[in-house]
Amino acid sequence: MTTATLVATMLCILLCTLVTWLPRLLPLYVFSRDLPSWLKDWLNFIPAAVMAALVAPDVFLYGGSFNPNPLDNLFLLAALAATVFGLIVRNFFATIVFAMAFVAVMRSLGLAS
Amino acid sequence: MRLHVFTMSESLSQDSPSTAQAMKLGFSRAMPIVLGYVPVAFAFGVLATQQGMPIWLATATSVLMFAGSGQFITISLWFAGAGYISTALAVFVTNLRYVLMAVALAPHVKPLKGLARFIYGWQITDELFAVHITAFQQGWKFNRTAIFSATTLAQASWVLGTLVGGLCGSVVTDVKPLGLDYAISAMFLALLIPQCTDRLHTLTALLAAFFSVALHLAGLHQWNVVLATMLAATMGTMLARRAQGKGAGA
Repeated sequence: MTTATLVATMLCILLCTLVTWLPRLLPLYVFSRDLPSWLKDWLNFIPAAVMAALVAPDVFLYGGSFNPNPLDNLFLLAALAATVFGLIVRNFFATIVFAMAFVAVMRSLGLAS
Repeated sequence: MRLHVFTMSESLSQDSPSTAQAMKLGFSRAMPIVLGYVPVAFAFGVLATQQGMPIWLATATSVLMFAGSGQFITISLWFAGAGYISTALAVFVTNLRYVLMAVALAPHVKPLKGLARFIYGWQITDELFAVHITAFQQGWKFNRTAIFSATTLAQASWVLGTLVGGLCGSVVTDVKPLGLDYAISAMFLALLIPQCTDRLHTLTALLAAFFSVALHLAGLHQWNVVLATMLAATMGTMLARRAQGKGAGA
């Protein structure tokens, strides 16, 4: 990495730090009062919605195009397996390790890529 | 969830816990997070250094940003040739969910002033939010030592995981055999499952997943997550309020 690229990358990181801090910090200073009940209800649904919205494209678009067939889509198959595993075991860490190991094992057995 | 046990015992005792007890509570809350962060941070360290980022800068990124998806999006866009504005904008949009989390946390962190509140805000991640909002919702009495024991341990593990990943970055030539490219998805899934506590939350998650993929396919590659989240959460709220008889539009 050249010095110019390094400086540019450092600037980019600082900029991205700023846009990470702003949404986390501003509400802590602006909304320090009780929220209306409809907003509380809405916020209650945000975590489930945001996690699903983040993971779904990664899983369904594995390989670059929409692929809803789990037998032909390793990430989707791993997600289904990890969901069943997670519902039974109910352990955050074990679910992550299981999902990653599932992907690694399927690849090492040559069953998926 | 083990959390429940701790918060129940906390609320049963009227005395404020000793520093050691508070630290123990914070650390036990952070432990599952640490175990989840280490492999993901390791993956970030490997991927960042393979793109040519010096190890110190990858580690500094984890100190400053402390954001899983944000950091991965930063390096993937920046090293794909995107400029400052498009990289930062994509990260900002992905981070908009923190607004919602910080709004939810805001009434609970009033006891924190000045620098303490700043540091707490900086350390809001999906996982620390989930752990703390659950405790607050269960009526847990705010304790500064317990809060910062959890956030500090979680961030330390994130930073150290990145450092170790960075050091291994030159050794690991392909992340695929280790399943490291699935680390982020696995983390989001593991966070999602305990959120689906009832039918409405499960339905909301399914709607968000559907909207997110549909919007992505429609070409909204940066906005799909935020739009899908807000749309699905709104529908979930309307259904919940209708069921409670509070009126759908209220």
